[in-house]
Amino acid sequence: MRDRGGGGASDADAEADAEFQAYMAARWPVLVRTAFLLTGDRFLAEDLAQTALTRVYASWRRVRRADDVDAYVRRVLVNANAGRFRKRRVAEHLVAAPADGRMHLPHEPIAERSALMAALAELPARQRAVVVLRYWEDLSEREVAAVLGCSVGTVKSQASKALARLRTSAVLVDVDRGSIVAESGRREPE
Amino acid sequence: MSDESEHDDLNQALHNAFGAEVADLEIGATPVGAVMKAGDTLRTKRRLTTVSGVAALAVLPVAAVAIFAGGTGGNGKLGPGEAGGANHGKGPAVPTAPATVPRTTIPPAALIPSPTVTLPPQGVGVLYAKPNPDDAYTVVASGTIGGQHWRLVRDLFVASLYVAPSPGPDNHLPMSQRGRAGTQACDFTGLQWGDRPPGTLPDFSAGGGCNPAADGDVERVTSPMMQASRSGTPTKDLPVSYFIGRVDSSKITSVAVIIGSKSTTRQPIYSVPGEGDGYYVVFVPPLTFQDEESMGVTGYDAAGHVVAHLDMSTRAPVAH
Repeated sequence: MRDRGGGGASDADAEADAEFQAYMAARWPVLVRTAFLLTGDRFLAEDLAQTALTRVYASWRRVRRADDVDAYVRRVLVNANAGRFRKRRVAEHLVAAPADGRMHLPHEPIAERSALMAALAELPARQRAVVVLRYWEDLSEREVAAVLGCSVGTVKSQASKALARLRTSAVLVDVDRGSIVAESGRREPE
Repeated sequence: MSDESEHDDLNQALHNAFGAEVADLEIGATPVGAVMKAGDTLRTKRRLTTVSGVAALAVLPVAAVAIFAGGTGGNGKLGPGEAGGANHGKGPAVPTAPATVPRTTIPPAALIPSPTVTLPPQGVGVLYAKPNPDDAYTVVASGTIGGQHWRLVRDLFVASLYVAPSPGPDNHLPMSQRGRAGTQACDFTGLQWGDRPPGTLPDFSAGGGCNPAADGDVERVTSPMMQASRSGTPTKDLPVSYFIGRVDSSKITSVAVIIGSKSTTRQPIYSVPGEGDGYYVVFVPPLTFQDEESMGVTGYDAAGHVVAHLDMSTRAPVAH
């Protein structure tokens, strides 16, 4: 572990570490769930959450003083996910679309994926992030804009496009009944 | 049903659906120990990098050019033969020879002490060996630093909605397909340099984004300073750092990169005829991890007033 220096610094470090441990214990499941919706893969989700929290911990003494720690962590998580795409874009040689016209997630048989996750996987990364932050994390448009570093107008347009694509792909949004019916037949609580 | 209640219902329905997707998700034990250990390592690495970066800067010879002389004269104006365009695509409506004269001339007033930038002889553009004949390329701006040419290049192309788009030789469709169902229009911008004269090879390492066919065209800037990117961690092959981005050129006429409490000189915005957006390039000495914790780009209007600031450490835009 770190050389914590003098007694005053040691106490402050121990206090900060204890705070971080408590924060991580409380937020880990939440972050992994959000990361899962961003990546569509359980293992990638845990890796992503761990990467984000590592970066947060490296700056924890500064981060813990922030007004909204969760907002900062969300931002790191989304940026780490975007970085994953940037790296992949350079590293991979792309191939043509699969025969059924969808991109499949690694590690997971297509039959086990819901129509909603399949439709989500077809969204561009930015639209997917908007949808997840807006409708899963229940952030306001302004909060989503702050996380993504874009304007509120962009959030609105990206959300609109994403919902349109969800509607026209595998997922039917039945707002009148307060439910989502997917082509797989899965039905969520009404 | 009103729009508002419909929206609320949609929110709730989607939230419930997402909740169902993650309800049975198996989540492993919280890796607190691993995260703290990795975080300690990262923090130590940042400190070491900062110290070594400062030491390296201290012994750097005073080289070539102060931060982004903007070409030949240090005033942002381009020299003869430095502005140019190349359209290798088959599609319409992409300017082939944009005027790359900056909109303003900013008197140099270096605020970052002893900034020196030397471009390597061979740029990273060699990652993509050949231009894609389906693409429309535009050289937005160009210049020289220390005898090396640099170019800001835009690659406009069309790809299937079902592939992860990337600049380069693969999977692009003819520009005539733009706007058709199942396609997306992509707009990637990147910087390249080397000892080849500008305008001959449009291949480059770039970043950017795509819009579905419904948009049919390049995403426009909707806030004064919407897009910005920077180079990654400096390496042996890429021993400089730079910021490139796009702004609303009707509001912003110059930008400066802010790192910690220091600033570069203000740099010009380059416009492309027929488009409302402007582009900028700012070269800086190699960034350190410490720099990355506090850096951003500030946009100024013609009178020199701050219009917007983009915090590049947190990516949060700050309105003015």
